Amino acid sequence: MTSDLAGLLFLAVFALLIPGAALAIPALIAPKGTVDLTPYESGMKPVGSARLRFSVKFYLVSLLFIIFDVEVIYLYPWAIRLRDLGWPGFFEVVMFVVILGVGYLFILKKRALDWD
Amino acid sequence: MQLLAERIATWLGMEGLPRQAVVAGVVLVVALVVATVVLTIAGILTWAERRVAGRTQSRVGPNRVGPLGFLQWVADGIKLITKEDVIPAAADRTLFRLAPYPVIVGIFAAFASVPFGQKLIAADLNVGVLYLMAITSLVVVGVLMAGWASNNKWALLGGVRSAAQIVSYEVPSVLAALSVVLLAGTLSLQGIIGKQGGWPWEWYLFYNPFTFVAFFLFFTSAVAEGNRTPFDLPEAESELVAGYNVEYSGMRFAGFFLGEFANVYLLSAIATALFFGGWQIPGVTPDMQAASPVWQAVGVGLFALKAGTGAFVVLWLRWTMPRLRVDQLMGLCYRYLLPLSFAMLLGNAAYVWLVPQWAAWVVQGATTTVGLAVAGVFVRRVFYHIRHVGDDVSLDLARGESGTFDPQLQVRVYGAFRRRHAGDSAS
Amino acid sequence: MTATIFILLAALAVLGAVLAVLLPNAVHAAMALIVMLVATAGIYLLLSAPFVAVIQIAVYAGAIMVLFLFVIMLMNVELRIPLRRWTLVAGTVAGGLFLYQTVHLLRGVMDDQARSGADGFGSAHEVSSVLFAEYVVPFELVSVLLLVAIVAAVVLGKREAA
Repeated sequence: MTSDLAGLLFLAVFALLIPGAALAIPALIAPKGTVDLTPYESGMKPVGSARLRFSVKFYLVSLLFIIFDVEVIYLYPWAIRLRDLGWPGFFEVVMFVVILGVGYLFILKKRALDWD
Repeated sequence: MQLLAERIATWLGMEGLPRQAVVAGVVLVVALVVATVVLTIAGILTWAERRVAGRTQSRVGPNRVGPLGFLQWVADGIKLITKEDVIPAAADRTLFRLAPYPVIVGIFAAFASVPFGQKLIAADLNVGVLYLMAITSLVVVGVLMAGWASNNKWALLGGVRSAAQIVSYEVPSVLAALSVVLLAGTLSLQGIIGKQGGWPWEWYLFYNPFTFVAFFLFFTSAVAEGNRTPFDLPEAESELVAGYNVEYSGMRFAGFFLGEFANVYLLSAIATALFFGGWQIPGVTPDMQAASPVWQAVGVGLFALKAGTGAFVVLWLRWTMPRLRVDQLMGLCYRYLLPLSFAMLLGNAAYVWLVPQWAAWVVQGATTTVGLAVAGVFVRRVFYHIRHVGDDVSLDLARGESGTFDPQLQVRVYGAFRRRHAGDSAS
Repeated sequence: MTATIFILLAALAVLGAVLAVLLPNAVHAAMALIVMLVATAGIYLLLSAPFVAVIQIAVYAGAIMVLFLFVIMLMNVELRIPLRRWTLVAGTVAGGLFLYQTVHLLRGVMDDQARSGADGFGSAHEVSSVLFAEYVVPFELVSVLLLVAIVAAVVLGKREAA
């Protein structure tokens, strides 16, 4: 286990170093100061700040999908032992999904994820 | 959890050297190999995309560098390395520099657990499927970082759209993969492949109607997660120029770009492992394959073929489908994909319990027959239309040497063909 | 070897946490928090709990941090929050108390229980056998909790255009 872990850790470190090296090459050979450094807006002068305030819908989308994400994670332990857990496990999960199904219907009813 | 590097280190032995140093050395080699493989696959796919695009739009595509323009991606890579790494004056310099890392590392680490062959896997994790889902979610962080750090309106909008899209579509894709996990009873990708067989009727794709639908759910949401057309709103050229990576240039841009293309192959590879039997060869048991290097090589080739076909379909989709609108995008995910994938999951579970073995075989046979028939009809229609477009599918054309290539003529011929068959339901 | 890895990961986690508090820019702080979360996932892996480690990355780094970043960007918070003296003092006191409490609690269990589990301890298999046998009721209650969260999110985030 430990040596496996050490392997994974080395892999993680190299996963950072290899792209790092690839990104470092241009620093040595690429030209510098050849272009205009203003934000690109198809050649127009940028108007106002780029720190836009965007729609609250994005927030709602990510919030709701995190909830579903968490729900799915709960289903993983069940899925890999479906055969051991049998009917009781199945009905436990069905109940779990049905309760969240109510929430899903609520979202549908309120049209919360509609992009209008 | 079994690491290829660890096995090689044990096999090498290397008495006298500190063991951790040997492991580190072998891991470095494996990591370099994985990196090379990822880069090569992504590079070849960028070439393939342009060829497919050319073919689909009746033009030639890159054909100057190497045979059929195959080395175009190498030329592009060299060009990108020699380009200036532009950091806009308004950008947040630190985050701007760091943003490509989560994307590259996420994709790269995911490839470490892709089962290219029975023994060709860098790390066969016992939480394989979940690991893939988790590690690729680092991409979201990179995309948001890039969008925000660029300090550009389009980059920010693209990054935010992309993040919202990836987070949303992750749910149906994970659920669809769960349908397979349920049947296999393991999260390890090698374990899942081991439960399938080489023949199409032994694949999980045709196991029952639920898995058949689950595959399409998985594929659709995986394409959406990769921000590929028809789900490429985050990059929408016509409105956001290039989305979150609009300010990037040189190698940093290449990082995002290669990440996207490596992701295309990754999703096809995962689909191959989950639904198409991975490296299993028809008529050859895993034990026979383990014993013979020749069968091993055939298995690796078969996996590459299946995953390559999947990647081709993704590229093909891009040049065939128009882009979705933002409201359609969310609607598709939460009105259709989400409930359907839940239904497929519970359906699969109930199927395991309710259907006796003999009936399961009948269902499997029927699903295979219907599935292959549908695929056959589809392929026939495609070739039917290609034939009537007015040019033939010859690769000579690709060299630009054939004298018969005339887009104008083609449009006229195909237009006449469509008018003649206007009433056909099939067209 | 295990100890070395643990110290590295722990140092990374602490560094991330400290930076998350100290960095004046909210987006930078969120990024530091991600580093902390990933390092914690590494520590879970070290405790032979790969399932938990993977979930940590998937849920926290992949989903919840996206939400955090959305909120920061959405509210367009004042990008430079000055570190006032009283926040520093209050933070130190609260953190110190929490540290004292944690150390106090852990001292009792340090010797006999706090080691990494046997093989397969934190695997998905083990989690499921506990979750669906002993903790069925909490499991079902989680769905109720999530339901409440859905309703709350919709009510707060979606104002009816009256």
